[in-house]
Amino acid sequence: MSTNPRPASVARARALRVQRSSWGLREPMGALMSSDRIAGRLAPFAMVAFIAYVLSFAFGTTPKIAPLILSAGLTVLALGLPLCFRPGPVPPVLRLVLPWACLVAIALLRWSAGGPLSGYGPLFMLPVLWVALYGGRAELAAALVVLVATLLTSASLVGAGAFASAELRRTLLVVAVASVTGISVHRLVSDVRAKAMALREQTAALRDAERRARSARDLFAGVLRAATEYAIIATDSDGTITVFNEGAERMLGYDAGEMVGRRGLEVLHVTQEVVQRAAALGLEPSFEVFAEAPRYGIAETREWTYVRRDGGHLPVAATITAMRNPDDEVTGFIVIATNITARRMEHARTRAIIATQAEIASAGHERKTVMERIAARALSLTGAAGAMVEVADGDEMVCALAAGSLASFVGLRLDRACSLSGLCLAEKRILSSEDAALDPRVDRDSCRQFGARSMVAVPLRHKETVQAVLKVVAPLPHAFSESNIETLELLANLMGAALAHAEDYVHLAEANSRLLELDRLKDGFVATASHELRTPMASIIAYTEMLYDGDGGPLTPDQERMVSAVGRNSRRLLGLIEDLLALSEIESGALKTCCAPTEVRPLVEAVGEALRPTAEAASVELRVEAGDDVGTLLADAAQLDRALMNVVSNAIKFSLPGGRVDLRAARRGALVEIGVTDGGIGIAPEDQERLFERFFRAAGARERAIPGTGLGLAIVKEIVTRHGGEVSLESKLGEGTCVTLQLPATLPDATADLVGVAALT
Amino acid sequence: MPTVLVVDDDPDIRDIATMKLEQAGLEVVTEADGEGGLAAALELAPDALLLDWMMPRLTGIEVCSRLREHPQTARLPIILLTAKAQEADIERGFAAGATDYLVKPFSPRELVARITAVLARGTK
Repeated sequence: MSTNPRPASVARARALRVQRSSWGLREPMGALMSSDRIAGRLAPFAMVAFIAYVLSFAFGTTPKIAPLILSAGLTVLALGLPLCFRPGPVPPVLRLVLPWACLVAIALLRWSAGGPLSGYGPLFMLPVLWVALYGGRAELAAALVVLVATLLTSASLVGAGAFASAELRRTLLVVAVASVTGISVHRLVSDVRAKAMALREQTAALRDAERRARSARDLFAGVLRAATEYAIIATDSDGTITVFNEGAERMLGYDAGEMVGRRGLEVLHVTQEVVQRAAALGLEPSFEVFAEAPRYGIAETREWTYVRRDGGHLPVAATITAMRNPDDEVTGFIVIATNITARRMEHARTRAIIATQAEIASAGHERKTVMERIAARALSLTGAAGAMVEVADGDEMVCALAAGSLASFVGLRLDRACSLSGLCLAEKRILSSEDAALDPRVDRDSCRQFGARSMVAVPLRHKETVQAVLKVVAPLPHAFSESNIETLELLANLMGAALAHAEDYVHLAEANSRLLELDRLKDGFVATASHELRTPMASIIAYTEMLYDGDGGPLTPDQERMVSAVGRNSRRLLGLIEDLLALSEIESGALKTCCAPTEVRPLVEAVGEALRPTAEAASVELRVEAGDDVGTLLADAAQLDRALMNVVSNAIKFSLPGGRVDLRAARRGALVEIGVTDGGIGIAPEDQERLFERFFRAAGARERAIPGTGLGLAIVKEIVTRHGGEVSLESKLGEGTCVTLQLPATLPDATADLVGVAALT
Repeated sequence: MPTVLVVDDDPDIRDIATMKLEQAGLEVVTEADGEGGLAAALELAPDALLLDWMMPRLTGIEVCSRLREHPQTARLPIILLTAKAQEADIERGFAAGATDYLVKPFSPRELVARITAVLARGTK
């Protein structure tokens, strides 16, 4: 015990104080007392020495001076030392010095009092008991040894007289009694001490556990209290409510007191929903509807409708989990529910906006319809009493459209300066007046007239400018929330976009009707131009010919050359006019495509015949080859004839004198192929691609001054394409050109009607 | 001397026809519109008629069909002179009773040749 290290003793001392205060336990826990109390505990033994010393004078017969003085010294030591010890650490070994000093002092007194005759024997017990109480086993053994030594010393000093055997017996008896008593007391104390120790540890552990439990409880209670936006409800395994937090009280209007232990979770639900869910799960409608999933370890979150105490309904998202004990048995359930009204409203708003968008899209392009629909939506989505669209007009805002309570105010004019809409237009941002009666920006009388206490004005943006304002009003102040204003902004943007579309549409429709008119004019132009251009040309050409023929008198060679040039260019101009008219006729469809089955062979031969004089004049040999099997085409013979004439006359034009032009028609499967080949000047590769473009003339044609309008092949292409065919061209500069027309042949078995339809479509 | 009636609203064409036909030894009478042409044709009983199609008041086609209704002009050679050059137009002209057809712009030489030809046919 005495060798125990300090920290342990301090800890023990601390534990003792706690023990005392809580349980009121006192001695014999002296061994465990703090060092500052040791001095007090030592005092009684010093007193024993003192009493013995006094008694030795009272009852002593032959006092001996020397031992008395020694004993007095030891007694003073035993008395003085405790008084010297102030609270503070005491070296453990000193704890035994005093009992031993007492023993020695008593022994000395005994000796001085005559040894065996003295009555101090029982006093020896006290120091031994002290050591047994407060010392360790080794210290007790040492104390007993000292006891034996002191008794034997005193006996030996007194000497073995007549009573020697009695003295020895008494000494042995004292030693034996002291040993037995000391050992018993020591064991008893050790035992009690060990038990106290165990008890203390147990208590400490218990208190620790209690502290932890309390902090957990506090945390849980804190969470329950803090979760004011969440309803946290616990139930036992049968569904009876065991916890109903403040959030739940606030959300549902019940007091925890009337719920906990009294009601089940079902009371919060709409019966119909529970029945439906039960049916979906294949269960009877009971608490199991909620408990089934958590029992399987699933934390289930579902949307439910809770019924408030006042009967109101509240949409919630509730998560239900099971609580389990260490044996994994379900001991109850925890429901955490959040109010999803706001979320639902947000969804509803989004849906409404999308619906509005769809509605606007299908509303056509009427500005008024668009505005009406959106004004109606503005009413239904914000709960406004009235809505109007106002347009700026000079210094005033004019109501262009109104709905709801404002419906009768269409056409109303308000001064821009004292109208919220006017300000909104000027500032190009949303303005809200929460209470018009207190708002200096607005004309209060007008507002009273409108029944407008709350107003929101939203600019209608239209291609970066604001020309109109959407305004909603309500008869109560503070009627429009942030979310309402947001909704209005969305609607205003929608309206702006829709109005822009409507405007674009109107522009497009106007442009389209202008184009149609132009097209009609063009058709008319083609018809009249044909006549009006030919008529003057007729006079020019006729007079020129007459001049040339000398009908106006003989011409000088110079005059003849000039008249000839006029004639040549008149013809050229006429050709150009005819080509242009033909092209525009073909293009505009004015030329009736009177498709009929047309024999290819006669057509080709007719073209050959018609151009033979031209070929001969150019010293070009024209060969026509058409097999008997070429068959028929579904075609407008006049157009096809024009196309072939163009191709063949081109071939002749670009042939060199003495050259040859081949016109061949042959059947290639479902196609009729008409090829015109010449051995002429050919066309440069870079020109070939553009050859079918209008007014394009190949470099070769221009260099050689071969007359032409640059429209011939464009006409050919247009005609062939309109017949469902294709034109292709192969050419090599200096070697010649081959133009091939491929046209769908009439199938022998098909009826003309069917083919006609197919070809025309 | 055979008489040719020329009906055209274009004075140039009337001039050209008159010059060329008189040069060919024919007598020429001109009228500037359909109504006048119709009256003159019935009144003068010309040997041939050069008739423009597009004219104010009465078109050449109408004049042509009306003349065919009268016995004294039923066989009158009528040459239709027009800027309408499409096949369908030519067909319409013949359907209305035209004897021949000349497309503007025309060659004065060809005009004389055609008139001479129909007159020769008529006298046979």
